Amino acid sequence: MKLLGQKSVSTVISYLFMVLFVIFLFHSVYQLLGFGIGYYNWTTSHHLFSETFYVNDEIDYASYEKGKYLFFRFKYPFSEQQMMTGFFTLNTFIFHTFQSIFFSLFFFYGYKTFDDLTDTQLFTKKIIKHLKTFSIINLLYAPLYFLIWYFVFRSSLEGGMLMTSFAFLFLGIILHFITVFFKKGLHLQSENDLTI
Amino acid sequence: MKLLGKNSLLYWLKYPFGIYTVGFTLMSIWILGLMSVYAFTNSTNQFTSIDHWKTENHNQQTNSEIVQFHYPFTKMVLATENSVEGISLAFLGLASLSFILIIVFKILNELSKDNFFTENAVKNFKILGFGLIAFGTIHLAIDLFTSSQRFDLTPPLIFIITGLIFIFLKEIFAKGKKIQEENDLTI
Repeated sequence: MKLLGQKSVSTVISYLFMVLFVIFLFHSVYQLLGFGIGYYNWTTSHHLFSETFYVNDEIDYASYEKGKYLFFRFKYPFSEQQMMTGFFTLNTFIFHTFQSIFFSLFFFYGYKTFDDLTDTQLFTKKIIKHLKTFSIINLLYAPLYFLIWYFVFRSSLEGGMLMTSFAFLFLGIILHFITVFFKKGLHLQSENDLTI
Repeated sequence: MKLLGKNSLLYWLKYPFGIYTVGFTLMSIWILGLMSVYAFTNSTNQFTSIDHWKTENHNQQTNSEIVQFHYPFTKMVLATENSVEGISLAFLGLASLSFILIIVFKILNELSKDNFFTENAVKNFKILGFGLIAFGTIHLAIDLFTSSQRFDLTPPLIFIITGLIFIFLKEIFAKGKKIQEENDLTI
């Protein structure tokens, strides 16, 4: 089975990444809309899509005294399926926005990179540019995650977070090395083209 | 700073990495030997001992029998549950780590050359890729046969996905090697 080039495994993976990117992008935009509408409804006492984007100081699963905390529950459009719920705070908004933007970018650059691998010419400037951005995104995840957790949530780090951050950091380093392999390949390719 | 090639970061990193690989592999061979002897004879000796650990989970005490394999010249031990699953997964874990370290060292050796698109690099990426897929599959098979009701799919899946990434890298290196050869022929 062909791994690189047209109609290869790379083509299938690039489509898979594209689908995941579209899903995560929709999630990010819908989530931002939810936080915006929820905030507008709560501060102005309006009831714009209040069933779908519920924001109130009481919620069915929590038994806190009324008025102590603000809760939210977002549902998927035209359904009763819950998308996300929790405390309606600035911290929650920052954390969820960071996560959804990161995963949207991750899948977008994953799609771009695998799409470049389907080209007939493997070593190109385009793939180097995409790989570089992809590696920077992965390398930035861990420090940003820690900063948000430490300064916004003011909480200690957990084992699961460290594992996730390490995985993305490691992927970023590997991608950086792959970028260097491609630079060398492009150099050889250009030498070859010049000689011909 | 140069990452790859002669006098690069990897060129200097390969020496401490090589020392670590040799040390880890030798110690692992010792432990793997002890595990094999214990698996066939089921008897303890001065390097293999049995212990009982009490763990508290949700206010419930659980007793588990632990087998300890002693490393030579140190007080370090490798402890695992005294069961087929515990011993086989510990064996597989050590064997896979030693395998990864050895092959990665060979790859580092190739990457610290100025022309790193070589036949050896392609071969080692292929061995590493298929090796990781094989270890991941064996891990999954052990889990399924010994505890099909409760097992964690993450470690074997990470092995298989990483293996696939290395097979992609092998393809990229094969293309690079082809261009390198064309270049050498033209010169």
